[in-house]
Amino acid sequence: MKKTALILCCVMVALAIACVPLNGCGQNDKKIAFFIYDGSDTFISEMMDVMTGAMPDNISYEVRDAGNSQVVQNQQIVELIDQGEGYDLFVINAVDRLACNSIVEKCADVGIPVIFFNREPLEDALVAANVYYVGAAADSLGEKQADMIADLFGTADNPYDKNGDGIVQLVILKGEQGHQDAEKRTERCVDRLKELGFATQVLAIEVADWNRTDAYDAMRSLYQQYGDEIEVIFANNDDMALGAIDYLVNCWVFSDKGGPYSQPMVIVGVDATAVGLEAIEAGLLYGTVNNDAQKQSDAILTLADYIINDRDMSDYPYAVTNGHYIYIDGDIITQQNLSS
Amino acid sequence: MSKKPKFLKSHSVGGIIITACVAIVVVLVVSLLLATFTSFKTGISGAVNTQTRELSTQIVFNYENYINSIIETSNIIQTDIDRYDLTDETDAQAFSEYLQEIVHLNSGILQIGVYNYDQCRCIASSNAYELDFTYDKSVAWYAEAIADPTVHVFSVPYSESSTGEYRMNISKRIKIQNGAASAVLKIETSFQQFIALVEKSNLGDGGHVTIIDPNYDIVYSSLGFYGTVGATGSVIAEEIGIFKDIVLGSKNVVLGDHNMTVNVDTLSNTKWRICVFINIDRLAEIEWNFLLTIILVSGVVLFIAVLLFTGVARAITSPIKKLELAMRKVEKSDYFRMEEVDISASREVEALSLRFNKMMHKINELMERVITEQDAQRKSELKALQNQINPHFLYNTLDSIVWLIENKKNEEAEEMVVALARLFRIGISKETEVIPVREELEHVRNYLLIQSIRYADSFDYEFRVDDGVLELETLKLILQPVVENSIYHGLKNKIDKGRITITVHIVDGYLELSVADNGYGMRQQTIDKLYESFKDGAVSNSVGLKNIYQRVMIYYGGDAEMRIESELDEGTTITIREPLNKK
Repeated sequence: MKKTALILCCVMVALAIACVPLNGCGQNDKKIAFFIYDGSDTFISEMMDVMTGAMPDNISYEVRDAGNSQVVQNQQIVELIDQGEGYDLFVINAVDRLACNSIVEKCADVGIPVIFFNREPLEDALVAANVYYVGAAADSLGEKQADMIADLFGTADNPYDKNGDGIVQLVILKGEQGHQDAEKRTERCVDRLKELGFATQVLAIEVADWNRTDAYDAMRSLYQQYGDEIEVIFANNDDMALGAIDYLVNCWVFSDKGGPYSQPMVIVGVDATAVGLEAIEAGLLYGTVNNDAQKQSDAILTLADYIINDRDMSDYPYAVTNGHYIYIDGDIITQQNLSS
Repeated sequence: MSKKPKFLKSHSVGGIIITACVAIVVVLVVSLLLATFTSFKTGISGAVNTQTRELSTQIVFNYENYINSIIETSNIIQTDIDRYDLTDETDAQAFSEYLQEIVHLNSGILQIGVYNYDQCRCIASSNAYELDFTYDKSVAWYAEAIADPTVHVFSVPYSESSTGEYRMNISKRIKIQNGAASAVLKIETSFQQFIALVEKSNLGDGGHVTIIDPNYDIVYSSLGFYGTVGATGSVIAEEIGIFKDIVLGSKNVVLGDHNMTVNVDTLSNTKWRICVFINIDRLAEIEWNFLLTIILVSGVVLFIAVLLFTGVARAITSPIKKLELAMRKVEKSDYFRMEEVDISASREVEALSLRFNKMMHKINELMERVITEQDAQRKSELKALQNQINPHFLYNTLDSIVWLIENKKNEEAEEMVVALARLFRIGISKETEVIPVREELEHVRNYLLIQSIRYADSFDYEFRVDDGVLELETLKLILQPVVENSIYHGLKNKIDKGRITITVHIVDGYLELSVADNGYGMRQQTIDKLYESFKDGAVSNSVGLKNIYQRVMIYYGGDAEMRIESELDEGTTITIREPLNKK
């Protein structure tokens, strides 16, 4: 019987040995997991394209799409942690920025560094070491939208002040309620106009959750209520600006009549997505602020390199605010500077 | 055979077969048992995990729906508020009515108010009593909303003193007057709906929902009032340890007396986390039952296997045992008896028994040949021994006859010659070893006749013969040498008259022939020496007791014996015992 036992043991040991190489391969590779809030968000997917395209060969990565549910994203994060495959870094675009506190705590427990992007965690979330946020300087994006409008309305008898009352009648297409970018852009664009000495009248603020379809519906109700009273439309991002344009084109408010489109109201967006730039070229979107996906992606990848390889952060090429925040400034893009 | 592995040594074939087969079945059953149980356990705990995660996700979604609906309302109010100039009294009045409408439409919302930025004074409210009420600016819902304009602030649910109903305040810093000024919006909601949702979910015995803030303080627990001392209090202290361990995600834990699965998730729009405890005692119970069942089934399978293999082993070994028994019988018996075995079993064993039978036949044949050869040898030996008698006696007798003739005792001489002639006729005439007792006695009588004449009536002799022994068979020429021995060693030179008694009778189923004299007798040592000389193997050349002894032994084997009984000065009796044999 000992012989039988011996043979059984041998078989088991052999199986165990056979399994080892499967797990052992590619040990030198660094692993990054990306968690994005919603893959259908144009800006986020463009950023992901930039980042995955520029990924060094020795880094393997994984992308998880939460489909706009924080519960799903939590499960994805916990799942990858529980798999114990030793990720070197999590790059997280949180669905709910208030969930960042818990995510930071969970990742700090297992010693995985985190870079948040696009959705800014509250200051009390980024308390652990090796936890960063990379994103647009939300204040400056809204301010630059206001600057564009200021340029247009700065001259006397400008065609944009349709009722000639010297007051800017505006509506705002707001991104997701509670999203810091939405809140800040919404607040800063109006405040900046006031600071620059313009009289403003906010006709309405509609929440369209960053997306084109919601913005289309929002624009319909806004136009039905205010009609041509509206002089300026601030959209928190290009997708929503395009949603508004879709409606305005569909109901002949914007019409080309063989020539360039008439623009009875000025629409500005943020992000400078590819479709946004096309709309500028077509004369439908007045301008956008480049929420520089390229630059932000570079900031994230460089930061990832610094974290993974344990480099001295004092050499890091981007400015780090409060030890955890990296804000990337945006640029104004209109038809004038589109070619560049 | 010497290379036979150790573990096979001196075990029965049946034992080896049973052990080997049972071992294989045990290994098979145990590994099957382990594999089944492991896969069952993984499967069922996977299913339960999925189920509990679904359940807790559902609860989280319910909660998020509840929160989102309030936030949506808040967003609507924030959008609509720009339509009212709150500095204008009629507009403010209209806005309050608008808020009333919203409260009417949303059953979960109890009261909505807007409080100015610098004083925390109520400037519009769905509740008329609330108007112009000024709160202390340190009140949490106000202070926290002022601190971060980007988020909605959720208060800890509190029990309303009059009704005991749970309520929660949601507040947010908002823009009024189209962004010209700030204010704080406060929505008081009923938490009851959410509690009802939790209560409706089947979380099992001890299952509950707990909400914690980032500092691991309990915001709400469906177990009841947090911080209560006693059982609930200690459970909550234990829970906090569990939350700190999990942070986010799920785990199976033991809480109190119950096995629980815990899912910790974030709650949207808050920094809080929601922890759903679901009782999974049933899982352990199912696993235990399953384990019991498969152990039972395995036991039955093992039992049947043992029975089956015992049967198989017996079927193989019992014919072998039968064969062994037959062999042992042959080995134990003193004589060889041809006995065939008849075994019907497996082909191998049948072949073996066939070989055995053939071997037995061969042995039988060889034995018979040996017996025949021995017979022949014995006959020649006997002849040689018989032939030894004659010369001594013949010489002595002829000497006596000569002496009689010289002394002119013709009559006696004639008598002696006749006796001698008769004597010899028995000795010579027959080829056979055995003769009837009658003839043997006649022979001895003739001999005694000759000797009594020769020794001039110095002894008497007497025959005591039982009825019915005369026709029995006896080895021939055995009495005469014994009588001769008595005459030469017991009676010769005896002063008084000697006496020889010859007795033939049946004792205990044996024929006993004895010769008694009343001569000098022998010491015991002499008798012992005599016995020893009988058994020393070599065929003796001397006529005498040894000669008789050897002949009797050669002819009858262990069944016969020769006894010497003697007492000094009393006499000696020599008895020959032979098996009964009728002609």
